Amino acid sequence: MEEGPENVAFFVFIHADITDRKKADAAKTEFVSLASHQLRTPLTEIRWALSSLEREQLSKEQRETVETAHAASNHMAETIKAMLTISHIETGEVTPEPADINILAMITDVSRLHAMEQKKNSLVLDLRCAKNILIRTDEQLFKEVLSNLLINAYKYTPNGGKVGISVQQDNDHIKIDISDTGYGIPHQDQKKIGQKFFRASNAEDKQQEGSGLGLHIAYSLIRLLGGTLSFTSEENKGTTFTLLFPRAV
Amino acid sequence: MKKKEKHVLIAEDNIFLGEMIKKVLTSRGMRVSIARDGKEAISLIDTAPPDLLLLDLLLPHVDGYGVLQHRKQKKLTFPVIVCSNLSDKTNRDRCKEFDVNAYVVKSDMDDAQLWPIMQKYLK
Repeated sequence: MEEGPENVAFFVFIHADITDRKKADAAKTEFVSLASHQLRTPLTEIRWALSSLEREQLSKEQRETVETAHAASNHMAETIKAMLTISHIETGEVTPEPADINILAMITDVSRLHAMEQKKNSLVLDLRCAKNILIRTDEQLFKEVLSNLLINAYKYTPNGGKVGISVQQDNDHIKIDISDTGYGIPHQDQKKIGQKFFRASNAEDKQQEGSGLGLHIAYSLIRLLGGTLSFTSEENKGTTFTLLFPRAV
Repeated sequence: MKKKEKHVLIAEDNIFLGEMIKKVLTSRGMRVSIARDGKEAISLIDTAPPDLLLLDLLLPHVDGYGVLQHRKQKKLTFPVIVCSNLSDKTNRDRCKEFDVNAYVVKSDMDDAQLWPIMQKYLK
């Protein structure tokens, strides 16, 4: 049958009032924003108090206790930061400010920022990127995406493993692969990756701390920046996240 | 000859946090003053401009922006690091307009993160 108005027998109009849903979303986002700010004040005091304690003469057991508390406070700070980032994205407060950015410099900055995590797990970072590739994007937001992907790669790759970052370009796109030789994402969990607070079942098994917000942020930000994020993964072999981005004009 | 101590002014209304930061900076050889509100910060700045100001934004009487406005009006050039738990873009952008040197989120940082940033502006 040919398509065209003459073949239309009837129309179906679907109408739903989403005002209440919008109001509820706005209230929820505002609550997260306010609650996060309120949590930050006591957390700041906890972190400084722990830093102060760490400088004191402590027994081995006391030091371990303080370090555990400090690690937990770091995790809490990260979670609050992630919740606020999501809240800012959802309220439309995040507006990209594009500029021409050198990708290699940007990746180098991000990898330096997470050098401690890399060293802690004795991981090899294999970076393959030409020196002169420019990308037109918001530097801070793009770094946030890269950071979240790199943190995950470091977190879910066992000691001695390898994390790779490779950048390629063709006429239309710039492609960044962030790969690891880590635990991989179980097949049944793959559909849920990127959902808020979702963590793969084997991540919980490995007792790796995480909020399940990092990838959600990465997906949300990359959409905002006009790129796409996808992945392939095989359990116990590793995962590759691929960022595809229109080339700088 | 003994090197002159750098003077750091902390404008922070949280007494515990102010004292904690003071303790750490004093142990690093800084001379530290604390202002509990924006009005006191302005008064201390007028008495002797510090080598560096650590400035909270939500302060009683006169807020952090009032202090920044005063610095601007008096054409003072000492570096300012804003230490606030407000992390939104609006506040960050507003601080940029006052030529703030760095903006750190208090709960995301402790001494280990703050000190390298301070060193950069205390040279």
